[in-house]
Amino acid sequence: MSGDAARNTALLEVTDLAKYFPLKKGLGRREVGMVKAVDGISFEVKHGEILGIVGESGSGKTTAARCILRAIEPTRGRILYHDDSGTVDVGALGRRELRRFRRNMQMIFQDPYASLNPRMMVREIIGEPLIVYGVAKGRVLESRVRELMQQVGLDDRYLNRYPHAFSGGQRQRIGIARALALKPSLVVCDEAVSALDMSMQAQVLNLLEQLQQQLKLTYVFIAHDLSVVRHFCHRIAVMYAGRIVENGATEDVFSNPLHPYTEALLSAAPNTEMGTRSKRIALSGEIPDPLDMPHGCAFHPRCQHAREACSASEPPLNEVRPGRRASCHFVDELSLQGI
Amino acid sequence: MSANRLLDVTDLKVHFALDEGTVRAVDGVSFHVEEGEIVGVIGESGCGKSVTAQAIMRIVPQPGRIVSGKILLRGDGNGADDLAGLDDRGKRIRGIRGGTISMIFQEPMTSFSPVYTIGNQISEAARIHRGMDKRQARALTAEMLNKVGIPRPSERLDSYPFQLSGGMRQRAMIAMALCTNPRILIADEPTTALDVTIQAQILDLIRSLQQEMGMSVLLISHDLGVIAEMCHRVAVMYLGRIVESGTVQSVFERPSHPYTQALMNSMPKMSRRAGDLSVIRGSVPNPFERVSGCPFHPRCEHIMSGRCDQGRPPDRVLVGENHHAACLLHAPTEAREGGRT
Repeated sequence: MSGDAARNTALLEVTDLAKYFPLKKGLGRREVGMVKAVDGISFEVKHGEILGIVGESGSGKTTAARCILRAIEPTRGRILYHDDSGTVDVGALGRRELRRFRRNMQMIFQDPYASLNPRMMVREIIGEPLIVYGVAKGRVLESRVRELMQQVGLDDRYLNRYPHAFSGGQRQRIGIARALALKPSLVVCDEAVSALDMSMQAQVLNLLEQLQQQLKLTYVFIAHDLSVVRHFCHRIAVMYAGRIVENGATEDVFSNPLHPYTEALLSAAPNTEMGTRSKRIALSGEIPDPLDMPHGCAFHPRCQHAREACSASEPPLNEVRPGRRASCHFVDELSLQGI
Repeated sequence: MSANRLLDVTDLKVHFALDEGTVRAVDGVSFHVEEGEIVGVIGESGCGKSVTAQAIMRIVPQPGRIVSGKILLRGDGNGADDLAGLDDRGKRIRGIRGGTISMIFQEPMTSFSPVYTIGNQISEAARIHRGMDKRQARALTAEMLNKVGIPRPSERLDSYPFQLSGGMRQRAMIAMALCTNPRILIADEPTTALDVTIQAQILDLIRSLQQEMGMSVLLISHDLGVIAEMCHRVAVMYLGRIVESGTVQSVFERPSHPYTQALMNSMPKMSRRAGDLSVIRGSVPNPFERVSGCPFHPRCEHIMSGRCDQGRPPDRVLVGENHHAACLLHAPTEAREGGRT
């Protein structure tokens, strides 16, 4: 598949994905509750698209991403991966098949200090996936590693250096080169620029964007920084307490939020543009205790538009108009403020 | 020293002598904080903003040392203390540290002791600095917890830090800092570890308490948005120096130092999608290498060779009302290198 035609078909289709962590206590490790980190989310990522998943800590965005890669086993849900050679049900793969399949999906992590082994040289870090998958060795391996280093803007003379010799931004480039080594089609970026200083952040974002176009990559981009998401993502899904509360094209979600949580999130983000700020919606309280979820809509205790219906039943993630979904009982009545 | 300057820092230098060489973490910084004002210090990691705050509190970690400069704190009556000249373990600084000047830190989990209740830790400050007995201190602590918006304060007194969420811990930290009625609050990245909606709550809280108690705030942050929303004036730091300072309005609308300009252009905007983000080429140099001339010149787009790479640029060139930049671009052509305006 190529070009614009590819854009319209789904690469990844996730249906009703959930991950519950049992909470055990006491001598008998008795199960005392269930933390519903991700509680039934559905979304798709199209070929060549950048899907942003935004939400605050504890909203389940990282757990969702790990489930997609099956780095942790989901409790339920279906993950379908489509490419030229057909459809793969990722959730149904056995261990060996999963290992073979995983080269299609790679991950870039948040912390460029913790995610690189300090005792491995750059050539070993970037080359490891190639060796593990038996793709290259010897001379070929070295030239492929050099090529990857150049691709992410690292000087390939530093092949034999250890991670400590690099700055945070350069380390993140090493992590990116490692993720790209196996030529994946889907890359999950989990807060990939959050730990970087402002000037480094811009460099890495530009690099990711350029690689995405060059290599026709598809990204799932997890972030909490709304201005980064605004800049980088084609579509976004907003998560709150384990569920997607709203999704749609980035531009549209920012200018016309349909869920009160999105509205509050947008208004809480600090803004440097003098005089553009509208009145801030102050959210009281905090994200709910995962062991003690409020009944009905999880956001209703903090929502300024909450009514009786909100604590009675949980609103489904309905399609409001093509390509736009929101889970709010009063989506048709509310007129919310964007940016 | 002008009448309403509460804190006046002049030519402060803090150096760290290490085996590999000397790191000039703060290399000649001058600024002041007026009464009832919120002053922001912004910069990337390693620019010296936190060390500046530590120097004011006299808690610069070993082997860091204040090598020169003055930190004048105006007293209640006449005269001023030079904090830079005090014994950092002496009685005087211990009365000021946590008393006249309080500080809140980025990570409220690591800045509270995990083995004492928050009530115990907050009331300790009240007992030491305000000479209260245990009962009075406890009552004050409950009042402060209430003031910072912690629900059921008299029960929360007996909670341990791990029993509170990040946002609540930061509120408790603010209660501890403010229970001594400080005249200056230093907030070092107070919301960096928090989520945006909680960050908005904490910033609102700091602002309303600042107005209520009439104190001054020195807010240190790497987040341009936080500074823009909170501060009256701002100083931009790069490699241990202030490269630009002025009112927030003026600095954000007309950034004049090439570093400030580049920083602002490299930041994605909330209201629109630009094309590629413009980047600052290269990276912050190795701290042991001493850059000659202007510290930013190797990365600067407007470098004038023969001028920017030699001699220290003038510290304060006036570029607008109360708005200064340390850059030769704005200096009158006849200005001498290293001259001060």
